[in-house]
Parts: sequence; C-alpha cells; structure tokens
Amino acid sequence: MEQLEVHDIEFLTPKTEDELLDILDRYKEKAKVLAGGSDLLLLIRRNLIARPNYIVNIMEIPSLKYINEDEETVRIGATVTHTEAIENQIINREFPSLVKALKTIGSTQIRNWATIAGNLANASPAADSAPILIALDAKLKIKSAKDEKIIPVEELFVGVKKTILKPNEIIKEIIIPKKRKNFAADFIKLGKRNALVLAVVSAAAGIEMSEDGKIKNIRIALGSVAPTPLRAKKAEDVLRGKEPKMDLIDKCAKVAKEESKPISDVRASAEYRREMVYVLTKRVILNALKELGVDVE
Amino acid sequence: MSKVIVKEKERVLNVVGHPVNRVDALAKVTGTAKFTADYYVPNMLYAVVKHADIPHGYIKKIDTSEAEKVEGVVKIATGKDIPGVKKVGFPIPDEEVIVQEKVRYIGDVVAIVAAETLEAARKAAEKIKVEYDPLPVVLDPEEAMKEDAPKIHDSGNIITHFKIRKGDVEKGFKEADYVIEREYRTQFIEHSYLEPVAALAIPVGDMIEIYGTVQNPHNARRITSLTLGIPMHKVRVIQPALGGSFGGKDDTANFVAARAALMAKLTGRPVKMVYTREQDMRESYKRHPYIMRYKVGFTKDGRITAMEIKVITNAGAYSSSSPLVLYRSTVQCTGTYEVPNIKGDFYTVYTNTVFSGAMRGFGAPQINFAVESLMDEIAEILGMDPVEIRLKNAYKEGSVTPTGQVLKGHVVSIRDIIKKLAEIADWKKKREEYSKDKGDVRRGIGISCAFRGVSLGAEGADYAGAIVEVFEDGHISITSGISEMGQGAKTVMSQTAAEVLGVPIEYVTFVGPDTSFSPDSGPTVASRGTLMGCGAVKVAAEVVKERMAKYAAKLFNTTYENIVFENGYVYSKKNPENKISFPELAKKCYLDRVNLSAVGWFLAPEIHWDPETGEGEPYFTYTYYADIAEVEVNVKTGDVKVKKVYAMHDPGKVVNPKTAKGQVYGGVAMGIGYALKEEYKIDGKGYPITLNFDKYQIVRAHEMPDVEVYFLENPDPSGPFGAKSLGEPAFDTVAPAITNAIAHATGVRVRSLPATKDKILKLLKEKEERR
Amino acid sequence: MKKQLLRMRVNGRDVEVYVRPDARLIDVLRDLGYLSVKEGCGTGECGACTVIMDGKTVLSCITFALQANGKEIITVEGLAKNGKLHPVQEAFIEKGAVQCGYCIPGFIMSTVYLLNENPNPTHEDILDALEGNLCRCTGYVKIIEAVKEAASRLKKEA
Repeated sequence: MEQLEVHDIEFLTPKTEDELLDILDRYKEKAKVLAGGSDLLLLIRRNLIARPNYIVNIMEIPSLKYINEDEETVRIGATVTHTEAIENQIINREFPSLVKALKTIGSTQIRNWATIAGNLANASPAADSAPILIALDAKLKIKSAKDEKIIPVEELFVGVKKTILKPNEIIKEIIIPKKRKNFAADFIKLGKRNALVLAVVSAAAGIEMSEDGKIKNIRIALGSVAPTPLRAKKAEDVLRGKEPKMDLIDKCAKVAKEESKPISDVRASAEYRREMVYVLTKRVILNALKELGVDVE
Repeated sequence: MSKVIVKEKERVLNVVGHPVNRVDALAKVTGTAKFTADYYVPNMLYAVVKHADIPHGYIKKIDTSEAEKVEGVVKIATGKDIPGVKKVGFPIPDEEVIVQEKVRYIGDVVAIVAAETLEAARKAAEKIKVEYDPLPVVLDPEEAMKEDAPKIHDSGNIITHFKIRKGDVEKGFKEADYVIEREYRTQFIEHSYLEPVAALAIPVGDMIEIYGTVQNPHNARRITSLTLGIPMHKVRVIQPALGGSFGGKDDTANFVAARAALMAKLTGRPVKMVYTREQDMRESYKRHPYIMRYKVGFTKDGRITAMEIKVITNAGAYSSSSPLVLYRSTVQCTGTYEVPNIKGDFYTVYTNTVFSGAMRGFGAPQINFAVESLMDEIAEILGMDPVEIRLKNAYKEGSVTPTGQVLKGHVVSIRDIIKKLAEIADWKKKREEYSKDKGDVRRGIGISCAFRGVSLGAEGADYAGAIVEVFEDGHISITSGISEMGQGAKTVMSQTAAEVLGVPIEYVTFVGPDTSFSPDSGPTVASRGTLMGCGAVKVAAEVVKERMAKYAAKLFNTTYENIVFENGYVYSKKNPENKISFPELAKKCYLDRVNLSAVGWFLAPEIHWDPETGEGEPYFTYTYYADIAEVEVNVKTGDVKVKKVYAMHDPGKVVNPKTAKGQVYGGVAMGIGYALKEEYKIDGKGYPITLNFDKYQIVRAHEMPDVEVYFLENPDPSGPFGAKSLGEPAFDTVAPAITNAIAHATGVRVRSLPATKDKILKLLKEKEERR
Repeated sequence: MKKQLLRMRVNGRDVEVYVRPDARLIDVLRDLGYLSVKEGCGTGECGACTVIMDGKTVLSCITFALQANGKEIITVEGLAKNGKLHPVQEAFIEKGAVQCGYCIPGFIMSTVYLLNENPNPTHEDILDALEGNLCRCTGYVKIIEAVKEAASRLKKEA
C-alpha cells in the first residue's frame, strides 16, 4: 500500500450534511469519514490505509441520527449505532432478526459507538450486519454533494474491504422494506456469542410464503465465506416457487455450500467453513419456516 | 454462615486459613495501583526496539542514517553498544539482549531507538535498514535434530537429552497382554498477561533504578548488571504492581529492563520502553510445543507394565529454561501412575521459531495431556471405566516414581482425590447416561489427574528470604524477593506475619520487592511463592516475636514460654490480667532499644537427582489433584461447550481460601483455552500470524463453565502451616479432562491440542466414512 | 501538524487541552493523569481501556480523542465520592474479584454501565455485558459474583 508522506492532518467535525458532503467533495481521497471509530483508528495505525489529511467526524450531524418509519419502510440514519438500533422499538417490532444479528457484533463497548452504516462501509468479509440486511432486501441511499442513488445492500461490496463508495460519497441511510405477514427471517453466526471473533461463518435467510403454501420468495446471504458478503442466488433458485420439503431444503443448503468460496485462515479451514455453510443455511431456513408456522417433513 | 474454625494441629489459626481480603485490592479498584507504564518522570525518553526482519541470517549491515534524521531521535544502539556481557541466560547463556552477529528468530532485537517522543522513536525504528545474509530456516524440531540441519547455535541443535531407565522395558512388554503406541502433540501457547512488558530506567549518579514488569527483580538486576558491565549494587530493580505473568515475565521482561537501562546509560536520561501487544507477542517466549510418543504395555486387568517414551520439545531460538522444563517432564513422565519398567528419552531442540520458556505448568501440562489421554485409551480398549483404570495404577504411599524416588513423608492423596471427586461428580451415572445421547448435541464427562513435584526441584537452588520489621507504633512492614503477580503472594505473606505476631492483618504492609532491600529469594515460579515466601516470613516473624516475648516476660515477671500473642494483644497465659496491647509493647521495645527487625532465611530440604542416570529425588514433596469436566459437543459443527468442571486439590494447607479459589478458577479458564482454542501460530517461513487477541483467542466470561472447587488438606511437614502448592496445579491437568470428555461424547479422540471445531468435525466425518 | 483544542468534562472536571488530531482518547486521558485507563492490546479486543463517555462504555484505545469533544467522560478515578468507595469497587474487593488488577478498571466501568442501564441483570445479561473485557487471571467467576453483589448493594442504597 503506498504511503502518502503526510505532513499534516486535521480533525474536522461538520455540523450539517451539506458541510460534510462539501468537505468530501473538496478533499476526496485525502479525507476519511469517521463514524463510531472502531475501525478507522486501527486502519491508520496499522498502515492498512494511507494516512488521511482529514479525519471527518460525522457523529455530530443531527440529520444523520434517526430511525424513522412510514407505511412501506423503516429508514436508519448513517450515525445510528448498533446499541441504538438494538434498543429501538420500531426495529424490534419490525425486524427481530436484525436485532438478533446486531447483538452478535462486537462487544457492548463496540456496539455503543459503532454505526451500522459504518460497519457496512468498512466492508470486512465478516461485515456482520450485511447478511441479514441482504436477506431483508434492504437498500442503501448513497449520497454525495451533487448526487444521490439507491442500491441494494449486496451491491455495496466489490472486494475485501472495498466498496463502490467514491471518496466523496457516504451511506446516508439504510432502507428496509416492511414485511408482509407471510414473511420471516433468521440469522445465525457460528457460536452465538462469539461476538469479538470475527465470524467464522454466518448465514441469513428471508422467506416469503405464498397463499398456496409455496415459497414465493427467498433470499439467502452468507458472511465470511467469500471476499464479500455473498448472496447465494443459485441456492435460492432451488427453493423459489417450490414447496418447502426437507430434501429440497437439504439440496438448497448443499448448493449454497458449493456457491461459497471461503479461505483457510487461523480461525478455520476452508473445508470447515464450507461444511458450516451447509449446516447454517439449512438451520436458518428451517428456523424462518418454523416462525411462519410451516411444518417441514 | 457458620464460623469457620481453622486449625493447625492443636492451634487455632486466626488469620492464616481465613478468606481475608487481598491487601492490594483497594489500590487496584481505585486505579491508584501503579503498574510500570504508569510511571512518568521528567526529561524522560521513549525507546522502541527494531525486531529482526527475517528468522535466520547473519547481519551484514545496519544502516541507521535515515533513522537518525528523524526529529527527536537522541540515540540509536545496536549490538556493538553493549558494554558488558553479550550473551546471558540460565542455565545456558545463549541469549542476546541485542543480537551481535546473527538473528535466530523474527523476535530478535537488532537495534534500539531512544527519542523525545514515542512517535519519533517508532518512526525512526521503522527507518532502520538491516541487510542480512539469510540462512536456511528450520522450524520443526525433528528436522532440526537431523545431522544436516542448519545450526541455530554453534553448540548444535540438541540442547539437552535426559534419560529415564527404570527396570527392563523389554521384559515389561513381554509381560503385557496389550502393547499400544500413540503420538500426542501440543502447541505454542502465549502467556497473554493483560499487561504488556515494559520498563523505565532512571540514572541516578552511577546507579540505575529500574521499574519493570519483571517477575523476578533479582534476575532483572543480574541481567542488567551483566549487560551493562556494572556491579549489581549499582543496579536497583523495583517491581511495581505486576499485571499478570504466568511465568512469562522473566527472560523477555529482563531484557526489556536491560535495554531501557542501556539507553539510559548511553543518554544519561530516564528511558521508558513499553511494548505494544504485537511486539510482546512477537518477541516474548512461549510455552513449549511438545511431540510425545508413548509405547505402553498393559495387562488385561489394566495394570501398566512398561512404557517407552520419546519426547521432543521445541525450544526455539534460545534455550532459556528449556532444560529445566524438560527436567520436570522427564521426572514426571508417567504422570501420577506407578510404572515398573520405563525407558524414556527426552530432548529439547533449537529451531528458528520464537523461543520457548517458563509458563504455568512448566513441562507438566504437555505430559499430562499425553498420559491422561493414554489412560482413557487404555480404558477404552479394555472396556474399563477411566476412574477404575486410574485407581489401578495411581501412586500410593511407598510407590516408586520414574527416578526411583519412594513417595513417603507426605500423604499421597491421589487415590483419595480420584474416589472423592468421582463421587461428587456423580461419575458412574453420568458416564452411562451421557453415552446414550443421540441427536446433534452430545454430552460427555472426562477425568484427568496429576501430581506435581513442589518448588524448583533438584536442579534449582531453593531458598527464600524475608525481612519483618515492627515499627514503634506496633505496625509491621514485611518484604521478600518473592513477588506478587496477581496470585496473592503479598496477601498470604502478610497473613503469615499477622498470624505469628498475633495481630490483625491490617497491621501488616508488604513493601517491595525492591532489590535494594528485599532479599533475593530466587524466582517466583514453580508455585513456590506461598511455600517459600511464607516460610521465610514465618522464620523472620518468629525471631521478632521471640525478642518481644522475652521483653514482655520481663514486664510481667514471668517466663517467655508463658507469653501469648493474640488478637493484637500480648499477655501471660498464667495471669491473663497481665496484658498489653501489641502496639504498646512495640513502643516499649522500641524505646528500650530492642531489635524489632529480623531477616528470615528459609531453605527447602536437600535433594539430589543425577541427569546421567535419571535417578534420584527430583522434588522433596508432591501435591496431588484431579479435574472432572463435562462437555456438550455439537456433532454437526464440532463446537464444544464446557458445562461443568469439578476440581479437587491437595495443596497441603490453604492459606487463603478466597485467593486459592480464584487461582483454581483462573487455572480452569486457562485450561479450557489450552484444550480448545489457543494456539500461537507461525507460518511456514517463520513469521508469526497470531499477534493480538483477535487471532490469539483466550477464554471470555461466557465460555466459563460452572466450577466446583474442593480442597483436601493434608498438611505437609516441609511447608509453613503445612502449605505446599496451588498455582500450577490449578491449571496443568484441566485440558485432558476436557479432551477425555469430548472423546466420551463423540467417540473420537483429538491427539493434538488445541481440539478445534475443525479437527473434531474432521474426525467425526472420518468416523462416519469408516462405517 | 497543528494541535487542536479538545474540551471535555472528565469525572466532573472541565478540561481544555490541545491534542494532536490523531491522538487516541486513552493517551490524552493518561496524560491528564487518569492512569486507571490501561492499554492491554491497543486494538479494542481486551477492554482494559474501557471508560464511560456520555453515559455509554467506549474503548478509549480505538477512539480518537477529538471524538470526545463536548462530551462527559468517567473513569475509575471518578467513582469514589468523598473518600467513600463506589459499591462496585467495594463489591470487587469483598468478592475477591481482583488478582493482578490490570483488567479491573475496565471491568469496573463495564459493571457501572451495566448496572446503570439494568439494575437487575440476569446471569446472562452480565455475561453479555462483560463480553468485551478480557481477564487472564481470575477465570471471571469472582468478577461475576462481584457484579451481582454490586447490584444488590446499589439496590439497598437506592
């Protein structure tokens, strides 16, 4: 990684969104957005990113701190922390599976200050809230000084620690569509309370049933088994439009296993991770179906 | 809660044996306890080391020119700046505080930068350019033992070879109905004390005062004195509050102290060196990885007739305490079982990995893993219960150890412990019930037991000293070279002084250790802190007590044998109305020029062991203990949850039940990590992978099982109040209880630690395939 | 590099200090004399550096000092009032939860935060709350006992 010989560094704390986006527009890659801070300081210290000229603290911008709902969606602002989301009534009511996932991230101290959007923007292969957000069909509003666009969460990630975000862009909010009553989602991370262990494998599934007892739609997302959070589309195809039978669910989980491309590292071997994809995918699907009151034989 | 009557023979104990609060807890909960990094002095420089860039090679050139240009840099030192002895260490002086000609592992220190700020020092250290002539790297000890292996040191790669030859193994194998061979392996373990190593060295005239994270201040003094070429009385080492050690703050911490001292000497200014966690994990010594091969013969009724043993330990780049660790493994090689015929060869070998040294257990945990696994494997073959097989072979009074030592003079309590613990844990019922489990989550219960030679053994000079001084106001100051690292040494020594002098513990303060006034007591290792520290304090306190008693006898016009010290008062047994408070008596003594301070010297009994023949008495007494663990294994994911641990120890006498229990809980946590998840990893080229707690994972609160602790006290004649040892026993046989439980739950046996999910799942799959 | 002004309130005391823009909160607090804040790993894994910022625990070793601008910080030094120990501190002493002591300030702050948020924590709540704090000495058993004891002491005081 090329080290910019930086002679100057300034810590900026904009008070409005416009001020923030203006700063990013002006300084581009010389500036780095700081939200909760659990990632940026370490990245700089470990020389994993070039030392920025500007550290831009976005936590004092009131217009970024909100959890709002309307008829169709719930929208989570850029500076909402994990703890705030976990304690929020709307989120608990609408997306209990998201609360479950958020609780497995980091530790109390980290959840108190780390933002969900910031965790996504950091794009670790284990970005722990990504799989469930993908399963919930969540979207992100990406904003810059002059532009604004909405993308599905899974399109944010392009590689290990790489997102499509340009230096002058931020994630402004996370948009999660409210669910109809025939929908359920579940999330599992291997070893429920292994929070500080960057996940060995995690899996999330969101299932919508149709009136005739078939799976109308299914979204399966996996964490820590590919350079980015992975949407297991081929596995989804196995079950989409079909009746949820055990042998089909088993096949779906096996296809998810084939779709995953994990690496071996200190925490686990690739072989082990792939096997866990099978085990966890099967489990999240069965859990979601159970919540829907669907009996699988 | 009923009142506890604590007795030592006929005497009621008022302080010793009671769950007294730690004497240093207040400072620690208020944040006023000072650890090394909490010391700041004016005019201080910050020092940072530069570590080796490659694991093995000659140093061709060190270019510090770019580094020197960094603003704030005051001095850069390399190997040639060492004025004194270049190689230090015990028992083999092969360690280099700054390397001279070659680097032998990636944690070697090549240069040191002292600068006005920490940032400047770090920046400069990064700019030091070293050119090497690389040498071939050898990381596996068996590879390193080969004739053509690259030599780490000129003396050759095999550092030590110990032997045990007892009886006739060939005859023993012939007598056996079964003979099996097994290989067991264990991993590098990092001590993971929460406080990284650090030192602050302050020049005062021609003296150097050092505050350091040193487990053994007198050793730090020795190393500093040798390295700087100055006499020992010009080096003062002070141990502040120490944030954990587990055996890990000797060598490396001493080098850090010596390095800071060197830079202080060279610059004439105070120099502070605080390692980051990464630097600490890169450089500091680890627990030895072991390769253990056992060939065992046994009869069909479960009696072991012979063992042929080969053990190879990876000493890494420097020998450190490898020969001593090997010694313990050698003399305890059959665990707590009597084996009549033994042929054992034990080797410790240099490689280019991080060097291995002392860590809680010191060569016993590895052996315990092998032997306790073996016992269960034997039990399985014979269809016997693991408790039964252990009782069949366990030591009893009069048993003979591998070195020919007869176990006598103390209560050999292992059988008693195994029986009692199995009953408490409801062993038989659970053993049967759990084996019926089907489904994804299976339960298992496993047992492991061990014995441990107490204190340093025949290879060490086992002594300790303490000073007890009673002040004119009746309060007491004590000190010893035995040091506090969290285990409660200050507290139990304070309890001892308070007990002897018949005062509440609040009267006593422990000061030091500080080499300028604390007697050298050897290293605080081998779980000898209580035994030796309290032993020395007891001696000193009794001397002062006698003097005060004689004075009181004069006051009360009676004989000195009549004088009782109790609850802060001193009185005549025959005429109890002749009574004076301890402070009043102290004042009178002080004014009448009575000598109220004494040095106590405590020696462990004489013992002898011959490394050539492997025969003798390696330890003067032993402690016995066992652990039973219950686990739940998810056979789909390989995940293991330890649900319950029962631990029973015979530490002779429990001086402080509160701190003693804390030791056992801590030992269990460490044992779970050893069994299931800890491994310090080095890649195929010799570079470390696990450098912080994200990748090197120690147990967290939610992973702890329910733990039941039992103490079975059999007071030992050699220890103060009968006390023996607890610190290492608390840990060193926990892991095999867990892996035995996993085997019970799953039917598969992991023979290399850690027993990760990965390994367990793989074995389960192989078992499925074999069907 | 130009230093920037940091204004915060630490243990009830207003502080104004010029800091490097990339300074860590732990270093600034320690420079101000709050030595109870310990560095165990420098990466937010061990929790020894835990302090309370605006009422919530935070890892001061991975937080920029300037993030604390305008905020209130509490460290262990701010717990005892008029020479009387905080019930959490008392409980840690009584229950024998302290061994080497290096992790203790972090545990104490995590406990104070937990009991502020949840005066009646279950055993599971306590395990969750302490997940970010590592200890190598105690095996956590007595620390958990101390948290329960502190909860009961605080309730009596209320």
